[in-house]
Amino acid sequence: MAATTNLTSIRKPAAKKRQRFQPFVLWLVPILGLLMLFSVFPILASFYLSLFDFEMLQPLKFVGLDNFIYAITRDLVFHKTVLNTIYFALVSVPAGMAVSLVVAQFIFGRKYIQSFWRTIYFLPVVTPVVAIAIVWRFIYQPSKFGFLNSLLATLGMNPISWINSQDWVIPSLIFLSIWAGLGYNMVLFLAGLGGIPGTFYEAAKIDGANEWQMFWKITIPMLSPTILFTTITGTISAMQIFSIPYIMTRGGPENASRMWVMWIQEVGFAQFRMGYASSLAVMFFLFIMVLTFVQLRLLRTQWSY
Amino acid sequence: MMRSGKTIQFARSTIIVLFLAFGAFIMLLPFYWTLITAIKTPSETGTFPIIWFPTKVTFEWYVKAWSARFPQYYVNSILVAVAVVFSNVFTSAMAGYIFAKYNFRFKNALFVLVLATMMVPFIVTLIPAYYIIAVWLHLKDTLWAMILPALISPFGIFLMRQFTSSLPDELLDAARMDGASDFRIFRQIVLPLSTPALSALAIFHFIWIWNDFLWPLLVTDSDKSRTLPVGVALFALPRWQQTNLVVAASVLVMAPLVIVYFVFQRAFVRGIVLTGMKY
Repeated sequence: MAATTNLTSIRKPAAKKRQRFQPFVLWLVPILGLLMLFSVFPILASFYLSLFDFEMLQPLKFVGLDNFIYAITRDLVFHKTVLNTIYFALVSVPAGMAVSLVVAQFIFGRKYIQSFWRTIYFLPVVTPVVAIAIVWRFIYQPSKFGFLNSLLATLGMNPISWINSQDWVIPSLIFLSIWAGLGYNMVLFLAGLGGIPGTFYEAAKIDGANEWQMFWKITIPMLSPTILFTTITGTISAMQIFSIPYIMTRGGPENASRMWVMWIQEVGFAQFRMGYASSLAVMFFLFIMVLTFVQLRLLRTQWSY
Repeated sequence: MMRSGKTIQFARSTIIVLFLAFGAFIMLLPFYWTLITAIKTPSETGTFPIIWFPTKVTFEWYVKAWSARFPQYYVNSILVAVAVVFSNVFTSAMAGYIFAKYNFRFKNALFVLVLATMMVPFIVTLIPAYYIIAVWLHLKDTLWAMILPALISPFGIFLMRQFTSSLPDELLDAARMDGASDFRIFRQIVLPLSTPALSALAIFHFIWIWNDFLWPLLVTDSDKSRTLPVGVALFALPRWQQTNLVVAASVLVMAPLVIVYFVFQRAFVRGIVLTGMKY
């Protein structure tokens, strides 16, 4: 009978179960093997290679911390890319969150219409970023016949050279990234708003609070986990911006829109200085870690209730 | 009193709707411009005042763009996406289930390792990963170069561990007592019960791999392995003067995802909320 033959496989309480090795666990070997090969090992290798002069297929030459020292003291383009990247992230993340929070607040609760607005605002999120970059390169065309400049002219304004101007190129990228990412944050905020109990607002109303007070005293504090999450993930992804400037400006004009990741790609795969590129990547990693840690500390203490 | 309250209420919601409509206009305007530019003639493109409704419609640009290796890019993109999505659904569910429901040595250490790799930006692995693909495995300029590193994802494993932890042990034990093998329990109980999380994961991976640009750009050298984003970027490069042609080509890249989005809209949004992952 089946019952008797399977007696051995009937589980006793957890303590016993732990002792026996279950072969099913071996499925982890190929899965974690791939993780080792394409994630764990490359991370460690990046740290290792950052201490060497390394070109494809050439022997390694140990240089200690020279790559880091060179990057920090002499590589002016690198300095520029770091500043550009910070500028971009510092403005686009908070601005994008503010805009999407306002939109989410306005959309929220409008039963049937909510999904209508949501569909529209979310559309750029699912549009391939390469296609967005190509289209917006035309929209930002600096001549007075570019689409955006024609719109400005219709309103009686002077043309702007957008991505051809050193001053305007990063604001242009910021506006584009807010446009492209608004729907993503909005959906997260909508979910967060849905999690706030309606009784909070009712109680506040009885106490005579107005909408403005309810927004600042209830909505914002209750959304703090969502805000923390979107700040951190948004910053990490903004810092990694690559495709949009790579296609729209190639880092120009005069490195005004060259970003950290673009410089790593350029140094590693166009100049073939892979050891140096690794050191830039390691610094990027450390920078993101510190940034995330600082954000966690700052935002946590601000909302310690 | 009552009346003025109602008036204020009405004015308020009118302003909000106007605001949202203006926002929606800004969101959709680039798409509208894209669609009309792709069918305009050059003489009606880049004019002032803007021609909002083209008088002459042509599909010449689509035909031209399509005949420039786009079918090949489509095939490559689809093959890579299908392989990556299926593999990730399977391996994430499997590894997540094992981490959630089995006990073995070094389990916690291994799971911490998965979490740690999840936090590391992709760019940090870029150079060694490239070296592995190009020099060790000689896979450069093949579809495998894009598939192999993406077959598993630490994020998927993490998500599925969280999800399968909530499956009741009694259910799994009952199946075991009925003589089901471990693999059968996984396939017939765990997988079907994980469908919501797995479909979110599948959508996320599909969008992510479909849009991926930097890695395919580095590991492909020829049209035989290029995916759509790389293909269209290199197609545009020498043709920036031909606005209509390049815009039509980018429509070819947008179309599949946008259509899938309109069909599975709810699943997309649910996927983001569940995974909180940026595409």
